[in-house]
Amino acid sequence: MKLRDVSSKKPVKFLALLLTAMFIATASAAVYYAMLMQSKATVATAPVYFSTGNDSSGILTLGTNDTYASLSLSAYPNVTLYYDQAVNLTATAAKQIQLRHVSISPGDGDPSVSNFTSVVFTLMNATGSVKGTLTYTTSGNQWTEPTTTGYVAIGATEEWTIKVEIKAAAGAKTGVSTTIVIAVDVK
Amino acid sequence: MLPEFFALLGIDVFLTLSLLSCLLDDRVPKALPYIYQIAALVGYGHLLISKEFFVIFGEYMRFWYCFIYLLVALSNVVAVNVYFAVARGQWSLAKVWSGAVTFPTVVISMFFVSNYAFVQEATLPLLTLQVGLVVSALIMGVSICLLLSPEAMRNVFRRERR
Repeated sequence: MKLRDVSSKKPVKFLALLLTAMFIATASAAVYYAMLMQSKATVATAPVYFSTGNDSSGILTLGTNDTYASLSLSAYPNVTLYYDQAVNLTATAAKQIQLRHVSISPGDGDPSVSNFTSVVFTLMNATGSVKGTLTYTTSGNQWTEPTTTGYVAIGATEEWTIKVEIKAAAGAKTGVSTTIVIAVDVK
Repeated sequence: MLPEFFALLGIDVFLTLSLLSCLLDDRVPKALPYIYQIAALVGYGHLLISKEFFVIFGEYMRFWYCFIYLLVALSNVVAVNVYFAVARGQWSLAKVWSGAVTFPTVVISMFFVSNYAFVQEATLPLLTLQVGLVVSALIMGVSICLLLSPEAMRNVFRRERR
């Protein structure tokens, strides 16, 4: 049987047309869906933003629209330093938030890691209850990194705080620094 | 609902026409299913262009070119109906086609057009758009049929004169 004979048969023709029809219909629907999503993207103010706390003076730099914040913290050898209100989080709508580890540098294996003992970020609500903790500890030249605190509900107009405890190892060298990036997830 | 929904509807109408004309290939020209697939592909290209120039083309312009594409698709449904009735003289098939394909397709299109007009608060009076859709589809469908088989129409008129 020749190929021409096979392709001229009705079921084969129908099957081929059905397959291309399905492909065209699916691709068109995907393009339409993408356009629908594209048209729905509107700019709005962040429902949870960073704000200054009682201990923010001199250590906190807020980013544009208060959607990011940078903290410059000190650490002393063999002493735990507490920043009770390093930075605050203000909600304008009822949301769920969590703290999440993003990155830390210098990374594992770097000799300077051993200069630190621990860095702890504690999420606390307006009444001072602990809602979640991110704890970074060291073991030799290795960091033990946390994952997430898990989502907790924050009410509209509530102001929560992030407390930071930082401790350098006994005999730590001066001038050594570490950069920790954490994210506040909102949903 | 975006105006491109009408283009999507038009693509689906063309694809349905393609599959149905393949099933009825002994009654319609052999190339028709492929022509309808190409028409659906043109609609897909149409959607891609719309997506690319989403911001540049205003909603008014997007509505009209998508609406016209749907109108062309509906006209082809009517044209096939007229072709069965006039050119082939198969009245029973034409009746089935009109009940199973033409009528539901036109009603569904009218529903979405009126829904769009209601949601977008179209400046056109509500009825103008729907009646315009049906009348344009009918006129265009008959015209397509005349263009494809002028002989059949001449024969009908000759029979009427006798």
